[in-house]
Amino acid sequence: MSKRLRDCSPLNWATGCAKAPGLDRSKVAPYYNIGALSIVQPRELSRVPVAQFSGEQSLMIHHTADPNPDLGFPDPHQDSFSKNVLGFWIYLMTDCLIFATLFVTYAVLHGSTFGGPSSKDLFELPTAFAETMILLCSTLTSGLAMLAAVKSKTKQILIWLTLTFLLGASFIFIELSEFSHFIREGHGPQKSAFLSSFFTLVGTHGLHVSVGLFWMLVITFQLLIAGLTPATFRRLVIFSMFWHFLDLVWIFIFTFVYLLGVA
Amino acid sequence: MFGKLTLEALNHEMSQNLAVISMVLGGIAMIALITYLKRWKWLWKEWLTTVDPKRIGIMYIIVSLIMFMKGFADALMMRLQQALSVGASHGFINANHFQEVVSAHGTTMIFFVAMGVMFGLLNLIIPLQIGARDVAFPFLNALGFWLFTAGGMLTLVSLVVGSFSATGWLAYPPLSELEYSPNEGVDYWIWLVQIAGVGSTMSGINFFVTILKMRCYGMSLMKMPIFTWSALCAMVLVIFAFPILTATLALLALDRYMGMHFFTASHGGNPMMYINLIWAWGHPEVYILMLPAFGTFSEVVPTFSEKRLFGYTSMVWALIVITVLSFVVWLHHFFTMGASPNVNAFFAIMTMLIAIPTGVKIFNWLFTKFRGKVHFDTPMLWFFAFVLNFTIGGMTGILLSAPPVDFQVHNSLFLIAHFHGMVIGGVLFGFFCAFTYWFPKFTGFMLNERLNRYAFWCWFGGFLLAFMPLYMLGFMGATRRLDHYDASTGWQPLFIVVGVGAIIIMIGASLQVIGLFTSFLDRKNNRDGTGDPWNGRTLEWSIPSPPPFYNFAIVPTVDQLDPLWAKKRGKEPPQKDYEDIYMPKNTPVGFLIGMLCIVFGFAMTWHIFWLALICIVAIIACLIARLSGEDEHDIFKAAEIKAMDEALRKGHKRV
Repeated sequence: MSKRLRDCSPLNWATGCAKAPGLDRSKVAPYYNIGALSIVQPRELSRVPVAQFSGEQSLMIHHTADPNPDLGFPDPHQDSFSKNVLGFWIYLMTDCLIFATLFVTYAVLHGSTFGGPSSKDLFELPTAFAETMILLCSTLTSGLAMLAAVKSKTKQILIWLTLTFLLGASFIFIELSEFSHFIREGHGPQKSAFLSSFFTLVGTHGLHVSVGLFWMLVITFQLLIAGLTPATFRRLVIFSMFWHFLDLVWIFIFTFVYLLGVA
Repeated sequence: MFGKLTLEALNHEMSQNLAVISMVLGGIAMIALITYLKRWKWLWKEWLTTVDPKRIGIMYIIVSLIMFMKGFADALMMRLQQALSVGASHGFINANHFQEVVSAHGTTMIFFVAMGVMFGLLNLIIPLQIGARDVAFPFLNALGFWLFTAGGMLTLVSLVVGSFSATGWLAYPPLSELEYSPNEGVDYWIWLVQIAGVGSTMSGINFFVTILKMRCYGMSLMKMPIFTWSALCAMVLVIFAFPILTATLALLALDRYMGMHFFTASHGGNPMMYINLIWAWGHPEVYILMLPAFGTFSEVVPTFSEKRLFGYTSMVWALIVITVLSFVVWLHHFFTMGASPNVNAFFAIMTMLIAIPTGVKIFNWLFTKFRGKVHFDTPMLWFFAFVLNFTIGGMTGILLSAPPVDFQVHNSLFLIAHFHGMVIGGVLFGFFCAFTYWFPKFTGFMLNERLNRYAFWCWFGGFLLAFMPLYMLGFMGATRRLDHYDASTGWQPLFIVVGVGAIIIMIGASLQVIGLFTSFLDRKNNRDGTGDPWNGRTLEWSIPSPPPFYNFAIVPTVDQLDPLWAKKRGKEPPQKDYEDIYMPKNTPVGFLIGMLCIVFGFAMTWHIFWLALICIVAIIACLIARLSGEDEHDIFKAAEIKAMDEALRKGHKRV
């Protein structure tokens, strides 16, 4: 990667500035537009003088940001950050559809207990509530890690990521012990269609959380080795979207599987 | 150690052995040829590791053509069997193998031919039409291609080792459950479709973001070429539909591998849920294939009529309406399920509604030709054949959408004739049209027009002979997947006509292959020196053929539809100047992951779980290595690009 490309990257991401003719970019804090979330640019990364990006220094793959973007038209100088974020949003939506399919399956098979236990007999709200709280807290800590990233405080990022990891791991631990408890009592996924769909829906979420944990480890190593670079920052943003998404899915699982299941 | 895999897996019926031998010999010949020409390094550097959508598009089409030969051989075998297997004679394929052939034909043609040519076209055309140098995610795009290829290769592996699924192309449970299909066939099917399906989702995300984010200056959504619009709608369908397929296949796999009970006939499982889920993907899938074909015709008709497309806005809205409606019609594939009359009525009405936007499109094409200068080149011939076949197929579709009629002809050859009318008459003819139309753009020379015309007439006549009798047979009660019937039914003459039709189609396909080779050998004489052989209207014709790796030396600025047409009339908005270009470097990771996926699918099929685990770990390692690295780009200076561009344009007749 060329030096200039690396230098250009931070401002490449800045996107979503409203159309404002004659806007002086140097006076406006550039921010990242991540769908609904807007995040201020990391301080450390914004030290590169703005003047360096003006002029005809366009990058067709890693495009420089247009100083006065006209959002009425598609901008071929779209930066890679906004492309990545949009692409990841779309990926999340496809994942959301997978979960939707599993929810539908669960709804259809909920009553098909085939003489085995029903959701009322099995589920314990305190465990599920504890899981919910743990996951919610982990979302908070991952959000705090993002705030630390915006302030370019690598050590803080690592602390918050570690906390997130521990919370996520304890969530998985509780889920696995719940599963093994069911299985030991003879209520495994082979028992009935209801249990198949329960284990698959909740297990798929657990698998996603486990992937997230592994992802966190990889990011931690990257932060330790490379520090907070444009690339690691971008990955952190995308990871945090993933983690929030998993939390959202869990809220639905908690509501539709556990809360309605014991009602 | 080797799971369920034993030497018994290599034991086949005679007809299959012949196919295996010819396939293995073909493979050896290809390897020998590459070695003889000393092309391995070139193959690796220029093709296998490429992230250039133009090359990936060409590879998609090559893989699809290989798979087409397999799928077509399956079709010929079926038709031959059905022409012979009457009364006392039982043909040359046994009943079980016949079901495998039927399943393999459907799976191959939909997942590895139709999807392949669709994504191939998108890779080739979309960046050029929107004035972009690349796609949004070049690596993801390459990965999508290699997963698609991995699925296709796994289909070929299943021909050699073990047997294919004998449960139809959608593997309906409970037949596809372990209890009734204990062998490896359904597992092959699950993994090869799963791998290719994940690849399709990736490509869908890539093209969706590409079209939304990478259009050139001034190209607002309503100034987008109509083919790009059709691709955008198809990608929305891919993004919405393929995750459902992924989840459904995973559930079937859980049933088969973990003894769960989603779709089993016992323990509270619900087989009809599978059929609902698979068609919730399957119906949009029909339109995923169909919409780009519509888009192709919408490009070809204006070009060969020298008139702008009639009713562009209504065309776009028709596409959008079809996109939305295609998600609320899935139940018409199984009206006989036993849903209440109200449910059936709802889906019947929704199905009939789709005829409206489709009709809008047909009339728009006809009106585009009205008072235009219509040129009868081969692409246009495919269009005419399409209109006829698609209208017949559409009318029988309306018949099928009425539940009372559907109950009579459900699962009969009438249905087969209908959907082949759509898929061959619509998708495949659309692809042939696109192939002849855009071929010179990517190769720099024209296809042999005369042989192409002969091929066209063979396909057209052969298609009518091969499928019109099926409507009659369907009314007479012949069901699909029939490997034997009684002589007293009196069906044999019609089946023989059908077989003759299939052979005529085969002649047509051979003529196309011969045409391809003769055009290649004669490429010096039929070179396209202008980059615009058809008097085109859209951006892809404004650059030399074949396009340079950077597509556009200057990213175009457009201010209306058909920008090239406007330019030819002296109405061109001011353009930008040359600039530095960043192109992504090649990477072998996509290829590696594809190969690992073949091994993974094979290992899972045969329950060799240690090998599957190794593959998973290796795939994850590949992904981490790729995604942790810095993006690597080659930089080309503006001056360099300017020099290249001027040299290229000097070689062209038109500047």
